[in-house]
Amino acid sequence: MKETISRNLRIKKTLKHNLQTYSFLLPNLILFTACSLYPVVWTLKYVFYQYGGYGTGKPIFVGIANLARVFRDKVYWESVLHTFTYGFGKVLIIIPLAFFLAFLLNQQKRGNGVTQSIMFLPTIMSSAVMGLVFYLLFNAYNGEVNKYLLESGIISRPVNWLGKDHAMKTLILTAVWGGVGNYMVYFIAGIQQISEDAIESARIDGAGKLQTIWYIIVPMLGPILKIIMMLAITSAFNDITNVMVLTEGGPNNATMVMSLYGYRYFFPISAAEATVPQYGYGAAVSVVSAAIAGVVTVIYLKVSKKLDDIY
Amino acid sequence: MRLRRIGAITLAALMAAGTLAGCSGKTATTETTNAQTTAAAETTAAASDTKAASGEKTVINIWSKDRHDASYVQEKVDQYNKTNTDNIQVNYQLYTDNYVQAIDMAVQSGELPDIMVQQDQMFDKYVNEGQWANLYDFMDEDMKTYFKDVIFPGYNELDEKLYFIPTTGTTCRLFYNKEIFERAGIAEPPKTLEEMVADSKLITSKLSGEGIYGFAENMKSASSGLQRSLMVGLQRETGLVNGYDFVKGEYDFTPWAESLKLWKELLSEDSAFPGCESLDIDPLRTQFAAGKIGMYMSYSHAEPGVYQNQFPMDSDKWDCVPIPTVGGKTNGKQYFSGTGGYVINAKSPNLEKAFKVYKDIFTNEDYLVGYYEGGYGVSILPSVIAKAKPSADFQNKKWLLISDIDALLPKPPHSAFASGMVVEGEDMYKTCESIYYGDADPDAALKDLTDRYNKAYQDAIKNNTGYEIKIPGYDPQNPKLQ
Repeated sequence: MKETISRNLRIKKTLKHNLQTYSFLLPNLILFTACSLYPVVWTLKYVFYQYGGYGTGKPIFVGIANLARVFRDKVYWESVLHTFTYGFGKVLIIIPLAFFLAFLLNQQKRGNGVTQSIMFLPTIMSSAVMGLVFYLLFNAYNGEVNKYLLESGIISRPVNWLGKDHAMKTLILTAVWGGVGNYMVYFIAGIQQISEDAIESARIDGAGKLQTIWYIIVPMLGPILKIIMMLAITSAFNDITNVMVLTEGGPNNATMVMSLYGYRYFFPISAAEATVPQYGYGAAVSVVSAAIAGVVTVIYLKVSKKLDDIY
Repeated sequence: MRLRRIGAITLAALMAAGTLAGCSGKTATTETTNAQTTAAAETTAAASDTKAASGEKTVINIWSKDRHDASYVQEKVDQYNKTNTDNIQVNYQLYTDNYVQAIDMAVQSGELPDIMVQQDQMFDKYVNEGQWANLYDFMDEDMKTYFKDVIFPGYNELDEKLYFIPTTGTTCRLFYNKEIFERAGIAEPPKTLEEMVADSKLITSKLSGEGIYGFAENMKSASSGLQRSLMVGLQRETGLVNGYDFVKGEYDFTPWAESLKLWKELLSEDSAFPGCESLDIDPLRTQFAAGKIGMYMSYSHAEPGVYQNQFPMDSDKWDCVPIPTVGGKTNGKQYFSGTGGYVINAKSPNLEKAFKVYKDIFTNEDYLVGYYEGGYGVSILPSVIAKAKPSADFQNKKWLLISDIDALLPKPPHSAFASGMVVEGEDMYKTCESIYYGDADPDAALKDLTDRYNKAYQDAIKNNTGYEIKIPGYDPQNPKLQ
C-alpha cells in the first residue's frame, strides 16, 4: 500500500516535471516542425511527383522518374563538379588567408582594431550588394579592374572576367573577400585561447616565430580549425546569391553550382526566363545535392578527427 | 515552489500562444479579410455607398512589371487619386523582377491585386482557373465598338470572353547606331545575317581602340537575350514558331543550324562587345546610349522611351530595321505581341470599382494618346493613331511601328501548356547558348533538341497534361490563331 502511494507520487512528480519541460519545448517544437520538418517532408514527397506549382493542375505521381533523371542529367553533374571547384577553391584560399590576417591583427598594435572591423565588414554586407559591387569591378566593358590594368599597360584588350574562362575564379575571389573577415574573427578567438605559457616555453626552448606558429599555434587551434573548416565547406555548398547576381550560373553553365541548379527549377531565375517551375525535379535535385553535401561532411568529420588527436 | 511552477507553465503557455499567433497571424488576417471581402462582394452598391459615406476610401491595387512607362502611369494614377469623386484610392506598384512568381504567391495567399499588367505566362496559367474577369460583363456598347479592332479571338478573346485589351503592340527589331555605321563606312544597315556579322566585325576592327564594338546582346540570361533576337529572326526565316511546325504538329529545330553558326561568329572576340555573356539589358542600353555599341536587338515598344527618359540619347543617332535572317530569307511572319493590356482579378472584392478604375485610367483616350506620344508604346488603335502626334522617333523611324512583317502567331505546345510539357535536359535557349559558345556541335545538338521536345510533347499528350496542336493548312505567311 505504502509502495503504491509512493509510486503514484513519483509518477505524479515525473508528469509534473515533464509537463513543465514539454511546455518549454513546445514553442521550439512547433517552429521546428513548421520551418524545418515540414519543408523537408514536402520536398521528399515531391521527389516522386511531376508538379509545376500552384495553378498548374494536380501533381502527377511519377515514381522514381525524377531521381533517375537526376542521374542522367549531364548539366547537373557538371554543376556538382563546379560546386567542388568553387568550394575547394574558396576553402584553400580563405583558411590560410584568414589565419594569416588573424595572426597579424591579433598583435597589440595601433590600428589593428580598426583593421579588424574593416576586414569584418563584408561579412555583414548583403551578398546581393557584394555581387553587384564585384560586377562593377570586374565587368569587361567598364569595370575598374580592367580600367586599371589597361591604363597601366598590363593588358591591351579588356579581359572578360565574367566570361567562360575566368568567371569561376572571379566568383571564388568574391566569396573569399566576403568570408575572410568572419573566419579571421574565429581564428583570433582561437589564438586568444592559447596559453601564453605554451608559446613562451617554446620560445625558451629556442623555437623561432615560424616554428612557434607551425608546432604550437596551429596544432593548438585544432578544435576551432575543425569548426572553421566545417563552416567554410558547408557554406561553399550553399552559396548561391553571389553566383546569381554575378553570372546566373553562366556563361553556358560554366559557373552553375548544384544549389543554384536546384533553385532554378523552383524559381526560374530572370523575369524573361522561359523555364517553367518543375517542383518535382527540383526536389529530386535538392535531395541528391543534400546527400552529396552529407557525404562530404561525413568524410570531412572522419578526416578531421585527426585534428582532435593532434590537440 | 508551486508558485514558480505555475509561473513557468503560464510563461511557457504564453510563449506558445505567441508563437502560434505569429504563425497563424497571417491566416487569421486572411480569414478576416476574406470574410470582409466576401461580405463586401455580396453587398450591393448601397454598402459601398455606406463605406464611402463613412469616409473610408476603397483601395484599388494595381501591379505592373513595366519600368519603361512607370513614371507616366504613376502620374496618371496620382492625377486620378486627386480628381476621382468615387472615394477611390489607387495604389500602383512595380514588380519588375520575378513578376510571375509574385503573381503566383499572391494567388496562393489570396492577396492578388485588383488590376495587373497582362503577361502571357501569368495569363495562361490562371485563365482556366477563372482568375481573370470577363471584361464584356462590364463594357458598354460604346467601349466594345471603340476597341473592336484589337479584339483577336484566340488571343485576348477566348470562348467569347474578353480578358484583356491590348492598346499598343511590340515586336523585335535590330537597333543600330547611325553614327558608328557612318564612321565604319557602312552605307546601310544589314539585311542579312551574313551582312550583320561582316558589319559587326568591321566596326570592331576599326573602332575597338576607342571602346566601340560591333554587336551586343543581353546574354546573361539566354532566354531573355534570344527571345528578343535570334528567335524572332528564326520565325521569319523558317516559318516555324520557336521550332514548332503547325502543319506537321511536331518540333524541328534543325533549320536553326545556319543561324547559330553565324551567331557564333557574331559573338566572337573580333565582333562582340566584351562581356556580353554577363550583360543585362539595362547596362547594354547605357552602353548603346554612350555610343559604344553598333547594333543590338530588342523590343520596339520599349527602346524609344528608354532613350528618351531612362538613358537619354540623341534620336538622330539611332534607328531600327527588321532583324536580319540568313540570306535574307523570309518564309513566315515574326511575332508581334499586344501590350498595354491589363487583367482584372475576378475574385476582387471591389470588382466593379476595379473595372471603373481600369476604364477611367487605362482606356481613357487622353491616356492612350499621351502614351503613344510619350514614346512608351506603339499604338495599335486606329482612333489613337489618327489623333496622336507621336514623337519624332515614331514619325521618322518606320520600323518602330507594327508592320506587315509582323503578325500574331499561334502558341506552340511548350507555351500553350508550359507546365504540362516537361522537357528533359536543357531548353532551346540554353541549347543555343551551348552552340554559339562553341561547346556543342550545332547539328547534333539541334537534332537532340528536336527529339527531346517531341518526346516531351508526346508524353504530355499521353499523360493528359497537354493536347495535340495542329493547324491544317497553316500558312506561315498568313498565320491564323487556333
